[in-house]
Amino acid sequence: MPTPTRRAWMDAWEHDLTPTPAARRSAARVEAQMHSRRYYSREATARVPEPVREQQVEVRPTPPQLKVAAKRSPHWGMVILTLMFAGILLGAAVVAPVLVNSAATGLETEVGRLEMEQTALTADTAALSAQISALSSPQRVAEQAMRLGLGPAQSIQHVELAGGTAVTEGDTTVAGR
Amino acid sequence: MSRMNKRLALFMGLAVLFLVAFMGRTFYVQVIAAPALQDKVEGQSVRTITLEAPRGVIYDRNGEILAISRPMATVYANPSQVEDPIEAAALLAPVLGIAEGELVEKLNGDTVFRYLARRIDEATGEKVAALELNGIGVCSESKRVYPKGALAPQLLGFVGGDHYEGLAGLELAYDEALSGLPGESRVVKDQDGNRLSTVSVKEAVPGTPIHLTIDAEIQYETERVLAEAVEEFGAKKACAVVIDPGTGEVLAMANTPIFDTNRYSSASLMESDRRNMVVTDQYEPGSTFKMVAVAAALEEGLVTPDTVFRLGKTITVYDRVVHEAHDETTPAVREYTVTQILSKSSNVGAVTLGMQVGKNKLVDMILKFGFTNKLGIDFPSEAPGQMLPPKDWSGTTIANVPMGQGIAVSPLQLAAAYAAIANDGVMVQPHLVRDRGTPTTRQVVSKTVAAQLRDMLTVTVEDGTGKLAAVRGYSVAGKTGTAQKVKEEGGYYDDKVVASFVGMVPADAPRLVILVTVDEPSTQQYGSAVAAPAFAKIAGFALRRLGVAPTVAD
Repeated sequence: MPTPTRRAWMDAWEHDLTPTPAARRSAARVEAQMHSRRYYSREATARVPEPVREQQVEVRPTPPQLKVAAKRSPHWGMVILTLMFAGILLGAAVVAPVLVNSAATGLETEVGRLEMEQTALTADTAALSAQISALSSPQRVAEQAMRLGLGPAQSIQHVELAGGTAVTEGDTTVAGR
Repeated sequence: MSRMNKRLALFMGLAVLFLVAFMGRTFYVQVIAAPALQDKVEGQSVRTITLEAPRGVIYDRNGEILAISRPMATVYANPSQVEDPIEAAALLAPVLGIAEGELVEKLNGDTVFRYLARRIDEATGEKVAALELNGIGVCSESKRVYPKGALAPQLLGFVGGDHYEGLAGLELAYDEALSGLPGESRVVKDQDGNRLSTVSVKEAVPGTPIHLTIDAEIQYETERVLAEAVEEFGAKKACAVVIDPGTGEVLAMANTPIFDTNRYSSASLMESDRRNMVVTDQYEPGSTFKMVAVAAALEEGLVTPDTVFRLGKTITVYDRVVHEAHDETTPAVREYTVTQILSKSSNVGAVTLGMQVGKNKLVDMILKFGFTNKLGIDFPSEAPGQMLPPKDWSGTTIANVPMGQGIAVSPLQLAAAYAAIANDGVMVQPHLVRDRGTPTTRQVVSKTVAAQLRDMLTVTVEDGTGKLAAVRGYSVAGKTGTAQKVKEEGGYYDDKVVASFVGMVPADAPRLVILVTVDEPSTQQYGSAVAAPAFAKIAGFALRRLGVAPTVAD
């Protein structure tokens, strides 16, 4: 139980904290003004008392528990992955053009070889055509015929379709026999 | 950040930096410095190669190859790179077949390029390449070859010169078509000459092949017969032409001497041997020209084939006395029809007819036949005929021209005139290449006169001077000619003549017109004896070759 002195002090204290009726009215008026449109549509001319807020109790964080950690080993997988990534990039940048050029040169060489082959085939064709023409020349045919004992026909017979008769031209012997 | 992560970040940062630097350099090389580098590279390694356009093939009318181009090897030298000219010459001489001294001289020059042997066979070229001599190179050049050898050399001509262009004959006439257009290829090569890439290519346009109207078989037979005639009669030269009168196509055009066309440019040949006399030479046609005077008389309606003339042994025109060829056997007075004047080749009769026709009408007929102009055949250096301008004719000119003197024509012109008679009076422009436009045609004499002339010329072969021109199984119409040759100083030689025969076969529907001229025959002189038999041989062969059935039973 509090002592009377203490009680008196507490009442006085309580009294001081209890708003007076006038103070209550004033607070109600202010609150009404705060909710009215008129209040927001004009510039405030008077200090508005701060609304009463509840006191936040600050909760202090618990300090971490410190302990001794062991030394971490390197992430070799990550290193290798990074190296591979760098290698691929380097390869793409340096090796690929070389490969492409090499392939192109190889194709060019192939084209050149095929062109040479075509030229050679064209030359062979021309040579064969010339050879055929030479072998079938009238002069050679005549010489070969002469060698075989052949000669111009001295007698040629034609059949006249209209009359159904045979027309003989020349005698019936053959030169060279 | 842990220590390890920092290292990784550093490594990757460096890698990225390197890549950025690399890409930057690539960009610089590929884009910024590219033009300058390109010029530098092109100067060092880009080579421009001329792509030779293959020259067009020349075919005969049946697709036989008469001229074709073949790649051959050419050996060249860069004397400045030849280390030991004497040793190189010693190695090359037996392969190339060139004297060692000559090669040493070529290899010692100050120039950087010199041909050692051009257009030799490829096997020899490979042998030279195998020697691997510094400063000696082998390249490919095409060579024109004439596989039929000794066939139509004067007609085909030849190619030569730096650009290997046509220089004579049909090779010259159709050079533009046959040549094509050379191409060009720019390629990048390495130090060893290997091709790395092609910068640009302009393809060569091959030459267009041409198809002649010539039949190689008839051409060969014509040349063979001519050579035989020249030998038999001890003649200087001979020429002949075979024409299809309906189309103007020349089936054969032959000249002697016959030589291998591949040797056309050989120094041993004389210039006159290379001429295609049928087109380029003129001669006084003699009696074969009497047909023109007769045609003029018939066309003017002055005579008919049966009109009779009373002829003396000679005829005197001013101070000129015209005799018959066989003066000693000619009766003092004869009565000849116009047909007989032509068939017996009467000089007196022809002059009589010419005088009756008159200068102007005779000149008109000569102009109609086109004897004074070129025919426009597709062959270079065509000779036009020559005739004294009418205003310059003397009183005796009318006594010469009707019998083929005092006027010069080319053998082709005379053959074309007879072809017009064979083709019902329509002259078709003679030509040597098929499918090269439509030949011009013109009516020279009426159809009736042409038919009358054919009948009269048939009598010439059946019962006149041209009996030796007869072909078994076929009717032949034609005319003999024996023209004295003109002296350069004026007048005529007594012992030098041009014997000729021009005719058509079969006479009733001519398929062929053939002219044979033999220059300066020595053992016989008359066209009836020298040229007519040659005509018969050529005509007989050509008719069979063309599959023309006989029209007359033996």
